[in-house]
Amino acid sequence: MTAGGDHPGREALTALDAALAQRPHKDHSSLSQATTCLCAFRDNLIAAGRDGRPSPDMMRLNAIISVVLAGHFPLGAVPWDELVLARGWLADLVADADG
Amino acid sequence: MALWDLANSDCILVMGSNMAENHPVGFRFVVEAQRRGATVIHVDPRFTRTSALADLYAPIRAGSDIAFLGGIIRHILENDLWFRDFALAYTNIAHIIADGYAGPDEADGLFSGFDRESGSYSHDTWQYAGKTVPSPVSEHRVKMQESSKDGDFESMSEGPPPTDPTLQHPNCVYQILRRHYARYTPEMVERVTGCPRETFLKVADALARNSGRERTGAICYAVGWTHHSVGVQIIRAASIVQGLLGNVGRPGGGIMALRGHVSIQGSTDIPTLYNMLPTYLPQPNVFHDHATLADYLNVETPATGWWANMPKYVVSLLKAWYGEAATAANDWCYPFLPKLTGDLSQEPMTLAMASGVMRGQFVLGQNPLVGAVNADFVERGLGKLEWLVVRDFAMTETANFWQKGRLIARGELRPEEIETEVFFLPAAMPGEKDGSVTNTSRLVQWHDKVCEAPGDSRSDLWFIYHLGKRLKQLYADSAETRDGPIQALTWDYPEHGAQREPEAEAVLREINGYRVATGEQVPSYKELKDDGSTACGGWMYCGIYPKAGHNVARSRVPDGPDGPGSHLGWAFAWPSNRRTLYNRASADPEGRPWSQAKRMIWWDEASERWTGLDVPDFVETKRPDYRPDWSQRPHGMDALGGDDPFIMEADGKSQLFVPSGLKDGPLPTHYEPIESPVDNPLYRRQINPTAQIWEQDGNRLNPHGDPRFPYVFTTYRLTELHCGGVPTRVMPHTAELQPEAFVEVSPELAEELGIRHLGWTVLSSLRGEIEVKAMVTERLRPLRIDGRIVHQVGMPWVFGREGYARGAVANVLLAITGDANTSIHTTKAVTCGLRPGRIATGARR
Repeated sequence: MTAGGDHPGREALTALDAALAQRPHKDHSSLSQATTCLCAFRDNLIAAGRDGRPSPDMMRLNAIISVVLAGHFPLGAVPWDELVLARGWLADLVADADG
Repeated sequence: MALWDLANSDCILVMGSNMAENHPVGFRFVVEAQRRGATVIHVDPRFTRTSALADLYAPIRAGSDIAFLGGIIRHILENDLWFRDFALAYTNIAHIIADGYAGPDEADGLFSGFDRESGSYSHDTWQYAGKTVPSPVSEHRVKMQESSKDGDFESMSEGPPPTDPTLQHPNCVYQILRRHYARYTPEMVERVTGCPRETFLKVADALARNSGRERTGAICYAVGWTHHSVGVQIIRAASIVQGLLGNVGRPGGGIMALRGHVSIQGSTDIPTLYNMLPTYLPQPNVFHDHATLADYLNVETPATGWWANMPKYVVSLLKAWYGEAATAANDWCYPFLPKLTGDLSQEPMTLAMASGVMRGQFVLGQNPLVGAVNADFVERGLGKLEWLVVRDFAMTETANFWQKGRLIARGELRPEEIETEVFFLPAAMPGEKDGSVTNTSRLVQWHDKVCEAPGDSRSDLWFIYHLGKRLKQLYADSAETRDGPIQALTWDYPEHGAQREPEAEAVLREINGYRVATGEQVPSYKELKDDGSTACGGWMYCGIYPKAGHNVARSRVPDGPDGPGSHLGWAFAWPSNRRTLYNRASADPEGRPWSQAKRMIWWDEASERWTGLDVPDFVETKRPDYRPDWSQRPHGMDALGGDDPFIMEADGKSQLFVPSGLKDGPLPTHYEPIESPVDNPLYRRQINPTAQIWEQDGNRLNPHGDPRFPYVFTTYRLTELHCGGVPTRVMPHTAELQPEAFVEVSPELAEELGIRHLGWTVLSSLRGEIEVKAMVTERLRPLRIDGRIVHQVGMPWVFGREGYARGAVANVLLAITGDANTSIHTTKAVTCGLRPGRIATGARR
């Protein structure tokens, strides 16, 4: 799994879309890729914040990571509806970050 | 059961454990039972010192335990060897299951309710007809999204589950069991396990012959059962055997879960687990109806049985944690509890470490680069952390991974490329600190400090306490809602000495519980309230410190030779200092001992109380002839009769068939290990369809039938070297007893491959390669499985590169996978390749 691109947020969106397209089958590799990209995105935002640049809502990003992890490692059924919601939040965050 | 109660057994089956070598203190009670005439049986892939001391040894293929135990269940049922009076009265053998139920015998290795698209089961068709049964294990309820929403659990208060005492109904549990295990014939057992039919029958006969009114048998297991993709179901199979034979709640009867190392029972009770609050209360889950305390209690509290008391335990726990900040108006600070989203157990979190989710890790009392599976994957993950804190009393492979790791030695990583900041902190040893140890029998024993730890070494309690104080200081002025839990947490234990060591007994007093108004200790969990007037850190431990100055765990008064033998004066066993759980089952439905030889508790008509040799696990004054008045919709214990011993179950009956709580079926079913050289002879379904598999780069599974990995590989411990190895590998006197790593290979396989005794070999899987010297030994035998010879090899997993006794890390070969119910990894049955020789220079560990 890699998040080697310049836009890990967008890569996470792509991976999440791939996972959602597999519904109702759990797609380990797409979710793993989404997790890796989300964390790289988080690292970028943290770095931006430490450089004094405005940083989008980190609590929201951590919530997204939590939901994606819940889909990746579910306790019961995969929370697909919440993953769709998280995908929407992520799209907003990526837009903010690009903005 | 108490460890010493093993001496009262007439037959002891040790399976999934090398008890003589790995639990030598407890094994003396097995030896004592044998001296009194008991038959001791060892079933294991390897002939060990436990086998040598047993009366009967049965070899099996690693990973075939359910086939063996299923064969025993069939043998008991088809030969009518079960303890009918016990099982009919105390188990759900006569219960009728919902109409839609179908077993794997009918559905190609799957139970009814399987959703092929999501790969998971619905429990609807596993229920008692017309009922929704809550799992007694809160961890299961939380994982399964069971729910009492819409009053489902209330169905248990409307009347007893439907039964057919004649056992003729096609969907009664008895008939389902017979159908389910019909194919587990002695011939099939031999075909799957490799155990000769005659040997298997001797085992089954010995167990059955030593059960009934006058005799009892025990089963002892360890991680040889749990570390499989079907680990929970192996233990379930044992519980069916014991339920049928009447070996539960009785002297010398039971299932002994031999814990893997010191106080792992305690760390389950007052858990370091992510999915339970202390003493088995469910951790709230964000995806469940757990938004408020009322919601949480409404959906999680079973209507009937002892667990109906759950609200008292939850509110008392919140009062213990959040003190004055917890009020009725703020739901006793319930919103502060973290809510689960997904599986945060070790295996997923190891994967998450590699993904970059986890940025830091505390490692206390573990050495994951030796003890965790897929050691190379773990090492790569550690290298992605920002920080790592390791506390131990000697250098571990985990702490110096960045300098001496396998990947460093192989040139795959370089220290200067690893950004992880590692803090290695010296830890105090057991004799250098006060505290408690909870052993396998739920026995909590207090120990006192005998000397000061040298230098900067500190106890774990010191470290956690002072870390907590610093965190509270850091967040003291925060206005963020998310920091509220840290601010509100009660964290005020008395300190003493130059090191400001927190008082360990003060923690124990809080775990026991106290009355909020007076600070007086609560003597029993029966006095806990859900109105905020009591605080209790772990309800099952209530009674361990029942009054000021009285630490019951410190007590060391054994019974004399003519005493009752329950040793109630020796330390404290939760709950209520009770030694045998469900001991109401030691008396017949009328309250009389099943026999004088096997008496434990009984109903005393004169005093109108339960009495006997142990603390009764029942309402002390509930008459045996009490029956619920169903017209009144009884709740809690009122819904259980005076002849319902299993009080944590919603109907008081032992569950031979499990309607709720298990992800992989209501009955144990043989599936092949995730990696196996054998096609499943019982079903077309090869592996547990709900096993947790996370294949990715660095964590690939050996394909089924891959000729590169034709052998069964199993791992185990040694008497001389303990678990992750550091405590004993650094000690010359233990290290010299097992000076280096080895792999056990049968003479037949050695000859076939050209391996010499003490010659080098290379073991391989898709996770990695290791080199290790061969121990050519008859302890491992080739087995004939399904018409062909299958070889097994075994290796101790306790070695590493630190200390005096060194060698390859066996767990390099293992994959990160999980049991469906617990996410516990598989260490006991995978596949491997084996060849003589060494790894090319430069690629060695």
